[in-house]
Amino acid sequence: MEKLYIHSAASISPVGFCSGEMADANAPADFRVKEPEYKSVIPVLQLRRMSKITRMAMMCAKTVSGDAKSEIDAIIVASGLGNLADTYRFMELIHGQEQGLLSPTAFTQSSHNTLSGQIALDFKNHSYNMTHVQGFLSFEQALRDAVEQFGFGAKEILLGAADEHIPLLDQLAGENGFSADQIGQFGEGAAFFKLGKKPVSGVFVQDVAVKIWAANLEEELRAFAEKNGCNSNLHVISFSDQSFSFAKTQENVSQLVGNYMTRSAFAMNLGYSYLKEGKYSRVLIVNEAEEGSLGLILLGYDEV
Amino acid sequence: MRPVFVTGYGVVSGLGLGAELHLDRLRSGLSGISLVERDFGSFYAGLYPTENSELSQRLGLDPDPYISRTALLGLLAAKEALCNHEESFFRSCAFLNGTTVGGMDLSENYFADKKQGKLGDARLFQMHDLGSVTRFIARNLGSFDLINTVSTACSSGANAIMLGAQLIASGQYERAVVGGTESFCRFTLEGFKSLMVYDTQRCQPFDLHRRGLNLGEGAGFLVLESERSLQERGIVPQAMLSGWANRNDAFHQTGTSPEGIGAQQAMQEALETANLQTREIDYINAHGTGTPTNDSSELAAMQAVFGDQIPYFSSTKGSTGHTLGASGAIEAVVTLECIRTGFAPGTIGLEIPLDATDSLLAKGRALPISHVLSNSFGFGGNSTSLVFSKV
Repeated sequence: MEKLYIHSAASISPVGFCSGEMADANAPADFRVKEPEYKSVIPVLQLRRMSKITRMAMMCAKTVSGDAKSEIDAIIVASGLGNLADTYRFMELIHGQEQGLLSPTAFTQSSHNTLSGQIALDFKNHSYNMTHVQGFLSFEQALRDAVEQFGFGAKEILLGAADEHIPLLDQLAGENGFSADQIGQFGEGAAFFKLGKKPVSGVFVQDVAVKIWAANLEEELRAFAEKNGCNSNLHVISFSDQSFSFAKTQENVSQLVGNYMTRSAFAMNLGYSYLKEGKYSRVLIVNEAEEGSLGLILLGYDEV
Repeated sequence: MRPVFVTGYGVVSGLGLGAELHLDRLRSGLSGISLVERDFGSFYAGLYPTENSELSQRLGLDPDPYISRTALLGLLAAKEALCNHEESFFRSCAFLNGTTVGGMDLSENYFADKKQGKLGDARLFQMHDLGSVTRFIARNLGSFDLINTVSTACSSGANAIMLGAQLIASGQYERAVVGGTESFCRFTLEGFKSLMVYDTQRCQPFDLHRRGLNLGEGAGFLVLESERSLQERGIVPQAMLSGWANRNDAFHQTGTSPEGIGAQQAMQEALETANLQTREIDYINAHGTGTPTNDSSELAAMQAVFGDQIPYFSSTKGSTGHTLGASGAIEAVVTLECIRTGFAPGTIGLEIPLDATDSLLAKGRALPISHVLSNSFGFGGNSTSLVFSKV
């Protein structure tokens, strides 16, 4: 595929707000996001109505888009579980004790495309607007869509992902037999990128692949790396402690952000930072997902 | 760009199961909407009458209380679309689904149980994530190379169809099974009631005195193939998916702009993709939900795009109810049947037309159809138009 340059990146995660490059992060005490001061970017009145997932997404989207809001010709968002807090709030209204008319706000904001819709509304942007919700592969699917839209003539794309944690998740997981350790791993976060065909930053997405059934992980990875001509000097970001023989260096970032469905978007922000700093020349994000499926994202760097 | 062909389709809704049956019922002017009685109240909706246990049985599955109705309805429609495909069909084949509720038909029961002081069964959340519904349907059909879900409110199914078309047009895949599925949930019923757009009577799309929508449930799926795939498999296509576009109204989180900017742009761009002039469209299957704002802004958008030459148009939501994320896919199947049979359905429930011209079809009519436009609009300003053409 043609190189897609990452013009800018921003994320909100358990290691904090990052606009552009990420400082060396230490493992946080827990996996709840450390939210930034939103007020300078999002008007207070709007902020009050937004759930956590929406304000995280809006903050990141505005940060990476800068003054280029009208030039963006596709807005593509990924979310594994969508607007959980608003969904839960409306459920509570329905099944609560109060009688009479329910307030529709939580319902209207519970839709999975609330993030992409709110961004379009805020940007007054009438272009292509999509929301991908394929579990742990949601972000890879959204990135695939971005590649597709570039092929159909898009020049600048806003791509992002967000998932939020609500306490109900812990309760349900407990009732479903998850251990306290597993529940403690539940994370959350948002990460957005402005992508373009122009080599602005030098960091680019070289390839993205989704495998529905990866029988032999090591083999899949080797084939993917070979196809892209990068057998040496590869840094692998993954979400487990499994070691990959062909990786020069590797790290497990689940100790930074925990476990949530669009965690690979955070990994892409981290990879972007590494490549901009010149720490590595190629970064491969290995995302092992549900039922033996796999997402792979390869990032590269060109001198500009 | 490679052409995209339609080689199969299936549908289930309040009207019943099967594409041909849908057209027969629409031709007879029947509605699948009826008064539904539940312990939390009665309301008009277009529900498929068969219970989950019987659906499972019909699909050859073991009855399982943790399988969402959304998944069962989706599988039913997809199986009709895909009848008799050999294993090789699934090579270079994508499965794309659009839905808004996913397994919420089950997970909302957890909250209902809790309210009644019961323990609440957390396993009811196993299919809450939308992607798991899609994986379930896909796994029960074959070994697809790609499985994906989109959720853009009421245009979800139409967008899944569009994304499948793009995968084939760009040469990424040779085949795609695409569509949308939705089951009835109390959550969405209460949601539209809270917005005060749920019609307590039967809905009346495009009527001067329309009050709102009735919900429906169901699923629609299409098989899309490249020319190469047709040759390899030695089959003839049923129609072409010739145009598509997604644009955003960027006006309000739920409401549409009075002039329907998103709708205008979607229709115009879909015509451009199809390389068609406005006069070449023979029939429009409108989004036409029956809410005061949707129908007037959709009409304004059609007037802006087609001037005083609006093609024949109607809404079939008076027959199926508004099936949300499935509506674009169900209506795609309806339009394909319209092309096949040369018939445009009427608008059930219409008494005093919002549009005074002859374009708005109150009753169905025989009509040679070469090109159809199908509209789907949703929350978040999401606006999608598809063009299907005769081959």
